[in-house]
Amino acid sequence: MSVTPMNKNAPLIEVRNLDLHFGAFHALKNVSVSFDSGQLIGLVGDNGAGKTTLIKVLSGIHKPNSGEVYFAGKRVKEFHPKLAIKFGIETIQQSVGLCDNLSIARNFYLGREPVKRWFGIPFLDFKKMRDASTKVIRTFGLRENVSADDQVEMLSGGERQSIKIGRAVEFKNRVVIMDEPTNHLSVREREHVNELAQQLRDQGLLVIYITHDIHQVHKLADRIVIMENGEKVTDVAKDEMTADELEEVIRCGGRVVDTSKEVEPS
Amino acid sequence: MKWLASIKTGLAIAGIALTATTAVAQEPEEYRFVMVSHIGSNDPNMKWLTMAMEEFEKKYPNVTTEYVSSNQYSVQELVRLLDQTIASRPDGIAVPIVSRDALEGPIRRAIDSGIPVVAFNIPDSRPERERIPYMTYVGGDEYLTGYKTGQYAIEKAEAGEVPMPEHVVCAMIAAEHEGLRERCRGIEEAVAEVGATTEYLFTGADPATFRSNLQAYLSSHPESNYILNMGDFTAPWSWQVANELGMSPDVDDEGMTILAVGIGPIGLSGLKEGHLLVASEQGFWLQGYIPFEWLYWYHELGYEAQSDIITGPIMVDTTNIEKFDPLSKAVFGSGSEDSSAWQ
Amino acid sequence: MITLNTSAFARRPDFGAIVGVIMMFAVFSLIDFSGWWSGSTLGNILQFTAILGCMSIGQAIVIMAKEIDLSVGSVYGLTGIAFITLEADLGVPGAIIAAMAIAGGIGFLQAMAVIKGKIPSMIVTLGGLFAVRGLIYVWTGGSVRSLPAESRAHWLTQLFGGELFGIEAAILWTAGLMVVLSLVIWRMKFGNRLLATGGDENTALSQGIRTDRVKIRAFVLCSLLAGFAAILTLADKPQTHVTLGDLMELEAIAAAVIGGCLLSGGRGSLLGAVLGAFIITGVRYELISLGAPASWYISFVGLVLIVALIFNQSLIRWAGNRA
Repeated sequence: MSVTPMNKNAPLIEVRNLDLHFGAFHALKNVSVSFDSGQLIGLVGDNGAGKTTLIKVLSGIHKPNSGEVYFAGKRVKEFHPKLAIKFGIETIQQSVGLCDNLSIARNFYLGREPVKRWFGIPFLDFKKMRDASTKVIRTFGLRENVSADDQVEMLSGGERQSIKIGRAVEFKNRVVIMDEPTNHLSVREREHVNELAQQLRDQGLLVIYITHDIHQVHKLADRIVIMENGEKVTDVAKDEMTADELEEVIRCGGRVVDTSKEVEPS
Repeated sequence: MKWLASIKTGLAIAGIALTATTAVAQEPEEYRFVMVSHIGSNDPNMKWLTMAMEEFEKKYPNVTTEYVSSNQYSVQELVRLLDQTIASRPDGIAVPIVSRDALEGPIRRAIDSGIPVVAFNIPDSRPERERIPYMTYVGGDEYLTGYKTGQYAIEKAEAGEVPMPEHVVCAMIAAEHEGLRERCRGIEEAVAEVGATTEYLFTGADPATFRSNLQAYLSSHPESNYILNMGDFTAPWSWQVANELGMSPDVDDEGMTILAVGIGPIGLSGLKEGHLLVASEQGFWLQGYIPFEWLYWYHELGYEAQSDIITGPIMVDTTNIEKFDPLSKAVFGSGSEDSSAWQ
Repeated sequence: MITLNTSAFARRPDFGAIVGVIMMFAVFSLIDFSGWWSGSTLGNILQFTAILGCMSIGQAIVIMAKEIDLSVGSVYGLTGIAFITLEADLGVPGAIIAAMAIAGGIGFLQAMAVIKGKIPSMIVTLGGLFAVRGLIYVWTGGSVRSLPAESRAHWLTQLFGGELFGIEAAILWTAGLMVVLSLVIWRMKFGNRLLATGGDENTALSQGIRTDRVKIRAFVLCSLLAGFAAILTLADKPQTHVTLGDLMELEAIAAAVIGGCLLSGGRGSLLGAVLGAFIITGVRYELISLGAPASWYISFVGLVLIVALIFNQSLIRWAGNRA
């Protein structure tokens, strides 16, 4: 799969001149961006700005029409969620990620179920599945009475996000993409999820945090990337611009109005 | 405009007169008759009809017959075939009335444009004044099939060969089929004359379903002593179920007696081996022959049939098997010697 | 996994079917004790349940993947006819293998049409129902032979169609398949992924599950089970006809639904599907025994289905309130 040899100094994810069309709709226009480990990136933009499309390419759901994607210096040639998971890229979305009809333990290991052989037949290793998910339930602050055998449909929105984040940690992922992770959550749950995001970054993971709430993400992120109409319009370190200034950028259709402010070249 | 029309008519008459005289002067008129059928080449019964049509052509060399059918049976398909046939302007059409609603329009159109139509195999069951105005119907009669079979059983019972009917199970393989219901009504009225009752049992056509349903009925209604099968293929299933219940289903003076409608290797071998009392045949061969006789003589002499022509049922039993064996071999490939279905 | 907690037990998808079977036994014992408990009645019902149950297990698996297979009756028919017809040339073992290969092939083709052609399975398998039935007519020319005596005595025919310890082989086979496949569904990777695919396909995809492959396997398994049901039938009673399997798809789907399979996918039970088949067969048998007018039971299968659905729904709500 790899053509370019592994490069230690290469960014963890690098995207070059990415273009993607959905019929007549030009979803991504020549997007180039790179992300490093141990960073929390705020990916900001209005609906339809292309931020979700970009991360769908990174998580293997969409294949770009042109452009290149490198992971740890290796050129990515095939796009499938299975491969993204193999690379250690986990995407956490509000509506996707947990099957309501399955127990927490079953969801936790969905797609990478551990097995234990009985007479050579690979049965699911329920003990391992239950133990690992119970640990996450306890560490990530779910209600006391929730057990690993409970159906996911009994969990609150915040608890679901916690499980997904816990799963990302458990499987030693290198990249966690969080797509609007705090939508529909209570204030307390929102803070909890944001804390978890920072913990992941502190553990050396790359966290891409997608939102349209610039104020919220500005507090967490190390770097802010703003997209508009399928283009990357701004890419700055957190201290370079205040949240208000960035909000102004978004409000004006992604164009930097105040030319006195220096914008980091991409 | 009137004078123009009359000139046209005059010319047309002159034209017809001219062709007619030349025809008479040379040789007999050529006719083309078409049978539009619901029985496709995947159904062996087609052979009854096509064999008869070949015979007809041998007898009347000035007639060509065509058999039109499709393998994918549907009413729409039959209507389409009928429309195409009418458009080809044949000298006569034979068609089964599979659906009077769907066929009434095309058939009336054919008749209005001067093509005589004979119904075969399935009639328009409405009273004669209301039905589609085809010349005649040539085929079996569902009610009569059931009725004659019932009468046959009573005769044999009176002769002491089989028990007198007490309770008859009419094993209907399809609930919505009007013809099957008529057969059941026929046997019901025939056996009512000796005080016997009849159950219209919906069995389904799948063999396992058929067996399960029939066993459910027979084991709770042990007074049943006759089963009328709607096709000879269900007769061995009935026989087996009755046999498993210890009802002595062979042809003898005790227990259960099996009857069937329709013959083929299964029916004939069942008769020969004494599993089956009688299997009726609806005169299928004649249904491929008689319609063309009437179409032919309609053209030649202006004859029209004044009533339906009923070709069946013909009761087939041990006394006339040998007559039907060659027919069965020609149509189905084997006759009474193939008894595998009854083992 | 299953605690002896009443509400957890009531949350089982097949709870409704279990209650239904108990109720059926109670009611029929009450109104027709001697008829219901006679050996031939239960023997006949179990025999047919085994055949229908084998088909409905496959149907349940497809429904769990949020698809449906309307072609099982015709596939059952074609596999049976293929077994009988090919036996003359291939012998019993060869004919069984060939017939099952035909069944699996049809399942695979239908799955490809659903997945690659992106056509709803309802449409694809409805087409399959008619096309396969048509194939039976074209192939056989309307009449089917029966197995010769020596082939009936063949050990393989006896293995599928004979008796073992006085029990019909079909009953043992279906019971065995139900246990094995239940283990596959609930205790193995494939089952976990099947339930995820049916419950929430986007989530399954996002976790790297090849949902297309899961569905292909479900369809092939369903066709194979329908085909196997035909082998079980004909190995026992080889006198058949082109009508083999006529209308059985409806009963197979009804059995799976009565057994607690939700058409919205991801939930169901193979035990439930077999119990559903038992309920349909039992109710039909008793209705005929008790002298219900002909063709009533067709309406009754529909009625049982609706009652079972309402019953299952209220059970889910009841269990949910108690949790």
